[in-house]
Amino acid sequence: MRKTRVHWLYLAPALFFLTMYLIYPSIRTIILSFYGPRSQNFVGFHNYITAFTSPSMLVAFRNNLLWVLVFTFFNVGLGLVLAVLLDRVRYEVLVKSIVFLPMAISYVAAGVIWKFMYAYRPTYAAQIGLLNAIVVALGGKPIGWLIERPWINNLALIAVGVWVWTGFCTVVISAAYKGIPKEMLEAARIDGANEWQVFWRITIPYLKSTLAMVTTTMIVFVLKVFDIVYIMTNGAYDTEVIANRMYKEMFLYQNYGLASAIAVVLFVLIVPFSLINIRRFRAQEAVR
Amino acid sequence: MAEVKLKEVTKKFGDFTAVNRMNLEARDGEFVVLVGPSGCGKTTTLRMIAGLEEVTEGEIYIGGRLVNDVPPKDRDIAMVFQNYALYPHMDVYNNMAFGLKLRKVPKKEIDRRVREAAELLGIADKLKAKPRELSGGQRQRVAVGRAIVRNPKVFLFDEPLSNLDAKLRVRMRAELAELHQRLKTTSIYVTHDQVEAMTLGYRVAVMKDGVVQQYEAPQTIYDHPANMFVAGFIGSPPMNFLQARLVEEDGKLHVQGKGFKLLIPEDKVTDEVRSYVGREVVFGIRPEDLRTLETVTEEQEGASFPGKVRVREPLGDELIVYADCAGDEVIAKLDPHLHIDPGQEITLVAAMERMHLFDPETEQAII
Repeated sequence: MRKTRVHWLYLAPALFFLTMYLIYPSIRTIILSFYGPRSQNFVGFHNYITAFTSPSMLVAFRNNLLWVLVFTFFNVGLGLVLAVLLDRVRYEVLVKSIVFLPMAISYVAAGVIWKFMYAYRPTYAAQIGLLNAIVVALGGKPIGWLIERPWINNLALIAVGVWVWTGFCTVVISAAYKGIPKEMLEAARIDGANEWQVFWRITIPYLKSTLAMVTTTMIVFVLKVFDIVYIMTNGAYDTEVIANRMYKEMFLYQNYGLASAIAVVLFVLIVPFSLINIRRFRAQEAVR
Repeated sequence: MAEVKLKEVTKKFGDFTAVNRMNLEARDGEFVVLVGPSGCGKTTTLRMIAGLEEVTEGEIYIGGRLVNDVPPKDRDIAMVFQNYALYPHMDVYNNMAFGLKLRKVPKKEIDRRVREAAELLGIADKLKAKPRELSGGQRQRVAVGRAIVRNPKVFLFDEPLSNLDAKLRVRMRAELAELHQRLKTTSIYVTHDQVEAMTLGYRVAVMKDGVVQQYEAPQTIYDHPANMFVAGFIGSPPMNFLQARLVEEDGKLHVQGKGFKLLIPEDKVTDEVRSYVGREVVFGIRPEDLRTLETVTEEQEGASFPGKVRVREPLGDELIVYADCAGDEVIAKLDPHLHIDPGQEITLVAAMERMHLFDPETEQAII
């Protein structure tokens, strides 16, 4: 039929760009991941074995897991708490704007700001970092926020990520929260629920799909975490993450094969969460 | 079961007074309807009884207990909302069981009560369905079911039928009346629909601008409206109001307007009425208390006046005629089998024993 041929014409530009910029590079990366540093000799799974066994990569895997758990938990949790609490105050818009503000800053700027916040001097010197100034003022010893491994420095980095992204989570969850019919909450209160029960048994189930969407979006984002780590520690003191490792292999060590293998691993990690998101989106569209 | 009592209750939102020094009492087992135009404070009143709004001043008692500072969950009331307010993530069974579960009622008892209510409301086959799978009428039944399983002291209804289509509304109205006859739970019902108010209420409180205008049995309100607002609000089409003057001739009182002079029946004349002689008054007559001369058998001296038909609306069981009487519009509800055409001159006869007279300044009823 004529119709079937015409639709290819309409699709052609999109297909062309999709192939050029998405499909071809993906396939090329997968191929390169089976070759050596210079992409000349086939090395089989050697790069993958390195990716899963080298000490620096194992640290990166552990840190990424930490990022996924802590970053996602705090972003979604804080977003939810702020959305619910701010709904009850008059200066909601102002606070929301302040919480959202870091979103407007580039990660490089955020990294620089927080490098100052976390700055550390030996005990005998004056502390120029805000956090250590407070710690010392309270009679404590200065803390090497970005140095003390493995928990303090990694959590300090994650805190910067949370600082940047909480606003986004708050705004999205707040929008969904405002969509809850107030009469439904009132009905629950009259039914005998206290505020805590209203929250867990009515509000949370109602926000379920939004929370799931925000959570998967955060996971997809945080698996790719790069900028904050690159700017603030560049992976030093066991703060390495997968994306930063990939960057180093590629541009520092010029090991195209290993870098590609790491890229593929990262891609495979992200796919399931993206699929969940897409499926949920489709399901929502179907309901409409 | 319990009586509900409002004592000088006032609610202010900033500078706006939504409810002003309201007094109201619903006896044990009574069905009380609050009716009025939107913004009259009826829903605010209901929400204060429910505990969803704080009382600015005054006292609310449920079953003799002062509940001003009692949270909604401890007032032992149930409320049915206009948009049903069902929990979308729970099935019908759990929507109804939710309140009982929170109160730690034994599982067996919950099951018995939910099934009983579902049976009563004809939704026994829908217990597993989610609210979104139900029609409007079924959802409303679930909302009512959620209220009755709790066996509360008081039912509160906030315009529960206004989201339903006309046919269903009539049916649910009858079902609610039947339900109340069976359960005999004190009920307070808010509506802007005067038919619901008249049919459901033992007593009806007509509200305007946060003030109760009249609180009496529906028939009393219809027969003896306390003021022009109530007179115009209850009854459809609304009562005709005509500017007039009270005059005395040969010892008899008449209302005289632009195109009419009507004799006031002797038994209506009180000293108060007499004090208005020579003054402006508003003459009120309901459309259903007007006839045309042809359909009146006995002589009606001093009760008729001429008019010219502008529009006729045949409704099958009745004929609504909009007539021009010396520049004023008069609506009459007439026999549908009369042949009346637009432009035709007719003579309207008022049933003067059902006339009303109002003070034009205070708008209060004189007769």
